[in-house]
Amino acid sequence: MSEILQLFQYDFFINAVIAALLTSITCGIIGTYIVTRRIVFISGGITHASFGGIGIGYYLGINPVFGAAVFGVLSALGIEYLSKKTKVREDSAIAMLWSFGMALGIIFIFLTPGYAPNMTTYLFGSILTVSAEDLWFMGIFTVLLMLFFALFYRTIMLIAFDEEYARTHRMPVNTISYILIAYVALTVVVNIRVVGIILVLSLLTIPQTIANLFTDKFTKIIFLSIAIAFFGALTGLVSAYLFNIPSGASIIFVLVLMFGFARTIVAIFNRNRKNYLNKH
Amino acid sequence: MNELVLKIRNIDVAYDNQLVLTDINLDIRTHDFIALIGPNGGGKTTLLKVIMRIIKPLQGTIEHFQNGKPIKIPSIGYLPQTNHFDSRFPISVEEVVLSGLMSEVNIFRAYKPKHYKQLDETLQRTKIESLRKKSIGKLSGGQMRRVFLARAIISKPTLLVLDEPNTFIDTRFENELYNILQELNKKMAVLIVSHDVGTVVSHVKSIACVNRKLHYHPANEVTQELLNAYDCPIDLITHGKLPHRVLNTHK
Repeated sequence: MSEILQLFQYDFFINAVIAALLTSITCGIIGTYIVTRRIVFISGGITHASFGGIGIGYYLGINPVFGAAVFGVLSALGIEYLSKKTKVREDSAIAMLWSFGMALGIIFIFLTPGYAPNMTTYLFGSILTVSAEDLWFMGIFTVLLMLFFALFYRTIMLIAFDEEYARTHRMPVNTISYILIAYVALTVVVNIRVVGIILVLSLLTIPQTIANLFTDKFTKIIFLSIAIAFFGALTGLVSAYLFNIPSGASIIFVLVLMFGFARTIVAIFNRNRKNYLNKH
Repeated sequence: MNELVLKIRNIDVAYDNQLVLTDINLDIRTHDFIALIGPNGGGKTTLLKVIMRIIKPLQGTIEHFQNGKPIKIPSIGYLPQTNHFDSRFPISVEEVVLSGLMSEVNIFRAYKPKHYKQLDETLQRTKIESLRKKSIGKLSGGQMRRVFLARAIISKPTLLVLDEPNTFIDTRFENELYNILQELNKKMAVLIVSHDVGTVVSHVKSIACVNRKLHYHPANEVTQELLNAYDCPIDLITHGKLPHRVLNTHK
């Protein structure tokens, strides 16, 4: 135990804990939106497409995260537009963009002269090397996201629930959908630094799936997912240190274990309740 | 008292250069109770969308009225077909019913005390008070229909539009539904879309038949032969008593 407490003496560990908290908040909010609106696959497409932005960023000598943000938002808006306005099948369009982004990233990184950057940082994340500057960036984004959801939560929920009906009431369905898909892209990009492209999708879905076992209220799923994600991230972080394994992977591993545990508890509880109801 | 709520003149609608509706004319008044019938693909849903101003017609005019005055934003209660939403979505009955007031509150969707009063009344009328806190995923098909009916009528609209309300409901609720509708019809016009003419015909006051064109029958008298003869190839299937009335021929 003292070994774990000692960790808090290190700046890099404190930074990692703050990053974990910010990640949990953004993924808790956006994850609930994408899970309930069933756009997990779209989010997967945006995540991988943003790798193209990282490659271009390297090639042009600008911050790769900035490249990913621009590229991610553009592809998100592109997917939203393609699926709504044209006759391209939505899932085919997503698959195309998904692999196109990855291909573009690989090509540009290959073309970049000189030292080849360490790609594992972007593929699997590295929460332990998050800088103070990263934290400021994440913090500002988290506040903006929270503000948007706090102000428009009902509108967002009602559009996600029944878009068609919202349209009959002249709600700004398209505007809100475009803003939200851009938020999805930015959430993904902000969190690539922490858990990586390959793992960020599970931070957007596993906590929500666990939360959904215990509640079926939109707001409660958001708050519970944030708590679950933060607990999973902390536990994953500490086990990464103790067992000397990559932190991103251990966070996801812990979350999946939590899901298995929660599922079992719910199953036992339901069986007991059934037995109780049968007896009485 | 029987004021005009909707006036449609010479409307054409096309999708991808294909004319779906042509030369549609329709007047709806407060005490009208109309069945909109016609074959699948005949343009029923398109006409609904025009009435709700989701689709703009190629040409022609559409006007909504409230208390005899023309209004820009029509006051319409809408009961869609069930297959449009995700039944596992985490939302409570209360929230769904309140969402019928969406266009009356500001963009931040803060409901006021009077809206909660309307909610109580509506839940009572549709007999779903006991379900108010429940999540919609836990409801039966019949209960779900009541929730959506409640959402459609909470705003006390001047025109109530029901898209295929007969699907997924049990006969007990069906009778109850028509009782509720008849009660509502004292204050608002009701427009029911259905391809199952048999059950609808005995409850409504008039019939509009849509198959690219619209034929309006002021009385609810309909036979299979007549429907076939006037471009309304739909089946007249009924259970129990069969309506024995004949419409006048189209001019």
